[in-house]
Amino acid sequence: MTAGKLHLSGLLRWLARRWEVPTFGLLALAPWALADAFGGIGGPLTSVLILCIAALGLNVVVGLAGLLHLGIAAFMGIGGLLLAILTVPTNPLEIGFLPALVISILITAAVGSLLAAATLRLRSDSLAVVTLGFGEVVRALLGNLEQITGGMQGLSSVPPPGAGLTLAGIDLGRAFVVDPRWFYFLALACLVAVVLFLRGLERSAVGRGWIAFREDPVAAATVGISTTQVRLSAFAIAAAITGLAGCLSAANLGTTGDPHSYGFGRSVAVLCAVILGGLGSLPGILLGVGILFGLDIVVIPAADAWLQQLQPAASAAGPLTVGSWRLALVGLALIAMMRFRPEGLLPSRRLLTELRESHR
Amino acid sequence: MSRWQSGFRRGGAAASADIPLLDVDRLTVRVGSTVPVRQLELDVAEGEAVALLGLGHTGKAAILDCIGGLRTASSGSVRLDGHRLKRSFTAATFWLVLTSGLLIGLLTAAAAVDVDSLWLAVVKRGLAVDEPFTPATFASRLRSYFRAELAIDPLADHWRIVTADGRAVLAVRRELDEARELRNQLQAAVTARRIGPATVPDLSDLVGDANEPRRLLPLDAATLDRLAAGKRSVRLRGWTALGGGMLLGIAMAVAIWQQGRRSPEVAARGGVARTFRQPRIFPALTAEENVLVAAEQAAAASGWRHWWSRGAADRTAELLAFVGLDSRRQQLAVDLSFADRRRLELARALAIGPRLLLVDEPEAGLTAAEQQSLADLLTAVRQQQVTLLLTASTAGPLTAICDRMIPLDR
Repeated sequence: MTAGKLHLSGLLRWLARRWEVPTFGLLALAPWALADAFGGIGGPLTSVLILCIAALGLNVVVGLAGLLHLGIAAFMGIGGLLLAILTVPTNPLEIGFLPALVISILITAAVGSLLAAATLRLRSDSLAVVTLGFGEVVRALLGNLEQITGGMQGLSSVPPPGAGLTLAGIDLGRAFVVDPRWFYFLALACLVAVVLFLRGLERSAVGRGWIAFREDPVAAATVGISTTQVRLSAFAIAAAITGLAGCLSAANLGTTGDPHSYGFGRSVAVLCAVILGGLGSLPGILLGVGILFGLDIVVIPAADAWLQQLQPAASAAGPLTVGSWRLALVGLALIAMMRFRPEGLLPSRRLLTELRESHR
Repeated sequence: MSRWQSGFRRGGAAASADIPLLDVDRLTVRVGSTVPVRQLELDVAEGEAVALLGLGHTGKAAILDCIGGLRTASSGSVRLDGHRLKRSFTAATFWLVLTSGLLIGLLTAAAAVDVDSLWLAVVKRGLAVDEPFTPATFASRLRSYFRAELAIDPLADHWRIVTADGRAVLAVRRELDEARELRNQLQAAVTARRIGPATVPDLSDLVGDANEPRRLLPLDAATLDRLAAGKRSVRLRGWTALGGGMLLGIAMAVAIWQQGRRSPEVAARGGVARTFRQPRIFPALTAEENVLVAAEQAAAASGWRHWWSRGAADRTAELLAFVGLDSRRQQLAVDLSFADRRRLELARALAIGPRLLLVDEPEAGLTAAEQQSLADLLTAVRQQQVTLLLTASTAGPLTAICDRMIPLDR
């Protein structure tokens, strides 16, 4: 009995340290484990992975540097738009996916640091308002610059990542179109790369500087940490990671889509996922996105399909769906969460201490 | 007590013997309606230890804040080695200011010349008539947009002759060649009108745009005049916005630079370290990380060679041993006792390799024994040629280590 308990706690401790091994292992096996369902579940799961990347980007600003940012979805829009401008056949550039990805990410990072430069003197709530405004301006521009962005329809026919390439006799462009698993693995690889990058960053001088700035900006400045550099670098890296998510999303859907999907609603949903999972904690954020968006994108459509089968004859009021109760369910879950576990599902050790400190 | 080396790497010894390390000249600080510091004169020589004694805390903290760059003095000056601790205007600053000005200028210009229509004119129209996209065609289309020349846009199986921004239609033709010919004819009329009074060409056979009659321009003298004026107006708008935006951007960048000129990080890089009466540690970092984050900043400031050296980590270990927190280095700072927090803050301040250490009321909140051991630590710090300026409310073991005590009259 005791031995079993020891075993379990040892396993849990191992999981806390090496959570990425089982997590990514399971995600890599998902296409085979769910082989039958994959046709239906592959695309949605890919979207969840892409949103995980966006949430990790937001976490750099909010979780590590402690700056409230309410316009993160705008960077997804900018990244996706740039990729589309560089690759779609209705524009003359039509460069390959990889160079387009790199250029888009770099420009998005530059836009991020521009936003940071414009908000250098702003703190908490005023910064939140300005970032919110920035997000709405970007959304409005995406909708109104019709020649450049395609207006409300967005730029469509973004080619798949492998277009024009062949690998070991496989036409990659075709492979990405025919089999959604290709894109799933591409998104998973990007997610793993981002997680490893952020891990390294958190343990580097830059990441420690961000955390010190979040803990006490005044003390951080007295040891020589440049407030300007912290803000510029945090915003730029967050924008770059979110821009990557936007590029992947545009390439996955084949279009940049309706600008409203890069508006305030998306920004807040990503922020909710980050808070739900636990600010500053990488596994927490993946779990938060998995729950919030997984519910939205994967579980609810499946549940609706199941309900549809149960009630073949729809009543006059229309069929009962979980989808129509979606927002109420999410809202209740968030309220319950903030009441019983304000630090998030899998909080980082650091944040836990901060909460403890502030309640003293 | 283990050995520890002061690591200040720039400048070395004081420039000359007659310049004091710290020179405070007629310093006055206002806090709200009170003036806690009035016309303060203070000279501290290199290697000296000076205690500021006074009853109130605000005034003493305000003096340290002014020296450490946390507060701007109402009047008077603070010099370290004869230099004010201000960020200087370097070549890098100049280029940064210029670039941000240019960037803002280009953004406003893009808005003023209607970047969406520009994109249509430069990118989309070339594709519609299957023109190859080369730098030459790009430049010629750009020129044509800024000359407000008439252009040809596709419309289903028709071609329409439109203004440069594509917002108004003059005529519609079925064949591209026909449309081109008519466009040249109309453009010639517009150009002639620009130079002098030209007659309106007879174009009574024009096909109207049945799809969008709202956008169809009547071909009369007034329209020709408007089209002729288009070139001037688009250029005027563009240049005005570019110039205005550049001025605005440069002014913004200079303002940001100006506000950050005197800041704690500039003072820290100049060799001024600071501790607070209520220790301001980073609670969620471990004791080791608290010191490491400061040591890394000092290492990064001293050049790229430190990127892969273990200098910062070694220095952290040395300093933690020096203040006696060796056994607690993996503990979160929030879990440390008050006395240990004070020691940790001292180690963190020393990690930047300071020449001048500002210690604000170190005796506050400590027992007599803790005060004595902190005094021993500060004595050891003095032996490393670090100049000390500390404040205290009463004389005690910590002021005993100082060479001079300066009572602040209120």
